[in-house]
Amino acid sequence: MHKNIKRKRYDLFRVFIIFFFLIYSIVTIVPFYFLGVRSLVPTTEAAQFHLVPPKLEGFNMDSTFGNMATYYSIDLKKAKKELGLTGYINPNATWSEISKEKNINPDKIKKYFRSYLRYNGWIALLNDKRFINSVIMTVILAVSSIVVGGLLSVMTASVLAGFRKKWHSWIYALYMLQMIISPVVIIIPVYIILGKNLGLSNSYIALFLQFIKGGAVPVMLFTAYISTIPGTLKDSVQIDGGNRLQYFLYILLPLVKVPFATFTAIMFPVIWNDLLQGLVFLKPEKYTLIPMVNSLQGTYTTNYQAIFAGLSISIIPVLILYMIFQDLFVRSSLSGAIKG
Amino acid sequence: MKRNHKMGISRDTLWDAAFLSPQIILYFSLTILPFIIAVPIIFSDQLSFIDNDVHFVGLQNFVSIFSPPLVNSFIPAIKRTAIFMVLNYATVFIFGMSLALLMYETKSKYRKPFFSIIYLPYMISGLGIGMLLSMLFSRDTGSINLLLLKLGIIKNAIDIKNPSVSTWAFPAFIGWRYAGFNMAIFLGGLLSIPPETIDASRVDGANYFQRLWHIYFPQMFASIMIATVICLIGSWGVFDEAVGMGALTANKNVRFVSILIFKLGFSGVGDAQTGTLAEAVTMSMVVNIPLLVIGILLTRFQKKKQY
Repeated sequence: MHKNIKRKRYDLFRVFIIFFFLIYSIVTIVPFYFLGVRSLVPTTEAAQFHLVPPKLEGFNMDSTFGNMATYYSIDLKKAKKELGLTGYINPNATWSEISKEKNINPDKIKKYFRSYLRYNGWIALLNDKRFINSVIMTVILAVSSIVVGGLLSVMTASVLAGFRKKWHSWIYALYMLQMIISPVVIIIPVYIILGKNLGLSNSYIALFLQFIKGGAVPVMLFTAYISTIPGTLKDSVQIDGGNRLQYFLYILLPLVKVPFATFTAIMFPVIWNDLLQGLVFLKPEKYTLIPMVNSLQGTYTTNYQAIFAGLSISIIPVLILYMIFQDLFVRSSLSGAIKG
Repeated sequence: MKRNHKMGISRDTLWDAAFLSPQIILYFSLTILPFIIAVPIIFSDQLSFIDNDVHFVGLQNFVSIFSPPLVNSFIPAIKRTAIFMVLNYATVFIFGMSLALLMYETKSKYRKPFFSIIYLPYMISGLGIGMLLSMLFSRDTGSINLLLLKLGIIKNAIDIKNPSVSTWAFPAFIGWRYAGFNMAIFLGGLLSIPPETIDASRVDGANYFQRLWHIYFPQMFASIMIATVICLIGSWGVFDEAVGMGALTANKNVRFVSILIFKLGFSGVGDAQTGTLAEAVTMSMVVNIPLLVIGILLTRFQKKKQY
């Protein structure tokens, strides 16, 4: 009887935990939901609360020509061309005046600007060559750094696994040191080495070198995995007269697919989300994505739609990758893989 | 396989070196070498990166970072970072530890979806986290602010620009970001406890808190140490989140040591008002060398305790 009550109480406790996790999950999702909504809320309505993006009231024909650039970051030259407007237009003229003067159907103007009202942040950014360039460069950097950096770390780990010699564990300890050195601590000397001495300032190579230099997590990850591979494999290659390179290329590399996926899942966000290196090494026109998002506050000042759209664009790829790889995270964490 | 080392470098060692060298050379020059080349700079009057007229000034920089005008920004930054570190460390347990303990009591089939969502904010850039905090709580346009005002829960809007608000909100939000990360560390520790130990304590009639104190915490010691070291180092190196809150521009509430060092090194090019590059490097080393020592000691201590 007593046991029964205890059991029931425990079940109730478990229900409570599930309920708590539900609430916590909702609270965690809410900021991202609001971010999406805010990327569609015009600055003029930003001071009101919107649970969903506000309804469009249609284009206001009394707004002036010049204000289109300020409020919606619209390229006026392009708009003029696409609307078939020619000649000088007074920035203070309203659109109803323009339509009368230039003899253009008001509906055409309304239709043209309709999408700009809601999606102007997204449109402005997707038409912003610098922004698009930063996305492309960040993708290239992330992919190349993961391939090269991963390969280098596998090479390192292939030697260190098993700690066959005393100095192997010293090298391992040296890599572990990276865990307690924040990037910002050494950024000034690093800039002197890469930017000044090697002349890599304003070069993506400086970032690439920093991303592939290796560190505690990749070396730990691959070393732990490779040390589980039976040594007989290595010996058999040697008996067959193969050298270490052949062992590495034909035996080891095909075997490290699983830790390589984990490595990608861990390192992609780190590289994608890097702010400091881009800020330090690159000039604003060459910024990678996150420094670019940071600079949006300067370029688009009060166009919150553009700023929040930029932030969303920086988040979406990581989220997609996270959804693909989340099994790896959960499995590796829940199996008690992190033991120190 | 064993060869006589006196005969010279063995073939095996040559292969080792060939495989290690590409990464270790990079790693050494970009992680260890910076500390070495920082040494001469600390004792010099180097103004900026382009300054070629550098002289030896002895311990001058150690004096000047603790005297006006630099001390007026250095000491507040240290205080700010120290407070942040304490609160940030609290969130490691408030978020990470509680979530891990609750997750441990959850049936494993329910773990996965919750785990994924709790871990999610860690995937987002630190800059994005800072910007989200501003987006949700800025006084006039903050979404949560406007929501709470509309629901009548608060009368006056919360102002994230207010120093006393951001002192608490900033670490809390960062705690939310790292919740999944810390939870994973602690849960890893919990799951590695042999089930027999826990069953035995149950049979002995130990209640939950007794179990927590006498079994879970001691067995999780390694995890707690790792989380402590990561939090300690991370707190003094906090950068991205602060930049997201506008630390490099106007927001003085989040001007931590790392921000100050960055500003001295990279934006104030030899500006007498802000300080020199040499002073920035000196500051960085004064703050971080003790941290490094503490970090190394803590990790060594943890390893000793393990065996």
